[in-house]
Amino acid sequence: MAHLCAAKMGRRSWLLAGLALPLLVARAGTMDVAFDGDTLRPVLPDLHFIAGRALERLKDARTVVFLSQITLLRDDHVTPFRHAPQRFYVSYDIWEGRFKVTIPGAVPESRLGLTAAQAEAWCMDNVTVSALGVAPDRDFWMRFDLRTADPKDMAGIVSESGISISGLIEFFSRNPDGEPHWMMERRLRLADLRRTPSRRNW
Amino acid sequence: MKYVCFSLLLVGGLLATGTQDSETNVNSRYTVENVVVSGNGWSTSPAVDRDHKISSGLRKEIAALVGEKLNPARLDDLARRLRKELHARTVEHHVLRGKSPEYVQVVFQVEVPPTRFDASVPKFLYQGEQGWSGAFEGTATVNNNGFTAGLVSDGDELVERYTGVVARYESEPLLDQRARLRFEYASYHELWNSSTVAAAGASQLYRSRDEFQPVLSVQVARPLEVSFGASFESLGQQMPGAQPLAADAFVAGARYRQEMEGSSDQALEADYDLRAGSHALGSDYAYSRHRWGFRYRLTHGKHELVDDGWGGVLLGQAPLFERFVLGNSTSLRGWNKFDLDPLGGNRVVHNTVEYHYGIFQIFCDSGAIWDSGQAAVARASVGAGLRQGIFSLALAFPLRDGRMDPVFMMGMNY
Repeated sequence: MAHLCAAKMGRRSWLLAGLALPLLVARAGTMDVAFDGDTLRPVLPDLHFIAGRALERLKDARTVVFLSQITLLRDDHVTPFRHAPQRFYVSYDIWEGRFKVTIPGAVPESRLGLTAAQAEAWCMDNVTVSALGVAPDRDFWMRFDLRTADPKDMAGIVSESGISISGLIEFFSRNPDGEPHWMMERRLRLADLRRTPSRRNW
Repeated sequence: MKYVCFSLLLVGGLLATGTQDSETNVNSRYTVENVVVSGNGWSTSPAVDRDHKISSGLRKEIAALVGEKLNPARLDDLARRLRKELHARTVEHHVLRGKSPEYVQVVFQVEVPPTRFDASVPKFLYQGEQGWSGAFEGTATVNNNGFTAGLVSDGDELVERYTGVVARYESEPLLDQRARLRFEYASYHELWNSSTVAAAGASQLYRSRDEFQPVLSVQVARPLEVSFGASFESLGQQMPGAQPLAADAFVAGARYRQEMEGSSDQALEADYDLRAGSHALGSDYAYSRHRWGFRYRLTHGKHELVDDGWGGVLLGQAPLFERFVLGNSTSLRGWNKFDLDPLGGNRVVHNTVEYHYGIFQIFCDSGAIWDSGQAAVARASVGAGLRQGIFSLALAFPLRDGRMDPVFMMGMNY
């Protein structure tokens, strides 16, 4: 069963998290996991991250960057064994009232003229982690994080060589500073999931 | 070394994100139609207006957005610089649809804190002949009303060294942002140079000077501002027990400032000031003091050429603080004002030509100061030094036969 979880946090962070928890619950809902081809993908139809402050910024013609990360942890719920970071550049066309999403590495890399729901769906469709090498009958945890990032955060995370995992871990462990932060996790076993053919690049 | 590496990483990261922003933002295909900077009760369009709240350099950069493709990352940078320059609490930028399709308008919304406190040094100077002069002020701004209090000791500007306190109130903009009301109070203790004491009659010197000056300034048209008001001065006499003398005057002024921007920037300023002491105000002095000035500045890259000319006429019987002075840190630099005229003059004409290249400056001052009925003697000086922003350091040489006694000056805002 999916549920919200907090990583190692200080007292102040617990307090903030406590205050923010109802918001997160309200925004997130439950997490299902799809097993497409060789990849795992969180399925969150109720997650609407193009909203609130992010949407206000988009309507001011800014680019809003969303950073996501999937972490697979061993059954001890402590030891991570796989990270899959992703970033989405979202902008809002102030003349056409539609969104553009750019996902480095995706095919196509950019999509134009999307509604908010289509933009969110395309982003989530590209949040995947490889399941290759994961034993089908072994329990593990899948954790999903999503946050907005501003350019000064991006400077420490993204470089010419791509996303820095250590920068990303540091980023997600930081106090969200008023920004929404979605974090969900679920205990899994590949053998329990229904495997479907790959559906990337729709 | 670690700082170099860190900087490279940071710059690399910023470049990466900057490039991405222009590539990823769907609005970067639209052209900027207009840019507006607006704050609490004011707004300006830097491409059209020459609002002096914003520095020339930043204004030009904002104006350059017009006609270009929208670059949201650039807007973030300009908002940050506006916030710093205007001491604003926040500067948000909003992008709106333009009047024509494919065009957008940019609005920088400036939010200034309702109350803030600034400390400033309006003048700080060491001049080889006159010694130190300086002023220090603190200003509290409450809902756009400015309350200032400060200390000053100035042996440079007038024939007297005046030392004391100043207090000033400047109202929030009135009459649709076109007018401001100002009340200024000052109380000075006076020190006189021995040559002034020797040349003056006993009744001319005063021990203290208290001043109250209400003035209304009105912007008639964008480059032209006029001001009028009154100045009430009480001059405490040297003789113990003597009644103070009143030097009350009507004051009026006009200022014109025009800037022309192109491959070379030009600025033209002209001003006229009148102070008329009148028995109608209860003054013991009846006089009129006229001063007019003209200033032209041409800037091309690092080169800057400035010509600053001014003159004045004083008619009637006026107190010493109204008399003109040459031979200080701004006029006939290198000359000693007490050698030229220990009481100041009632006629003056002066011109300065300055050339700046980067931080280097050279200048040539010429002028004459005399009293009506006397022959005017033209004098000149040259000098060189360094100037960076408000800081300046210079060595000035009076041009005269036989001797060369340079005068050293350094300071800020003089």
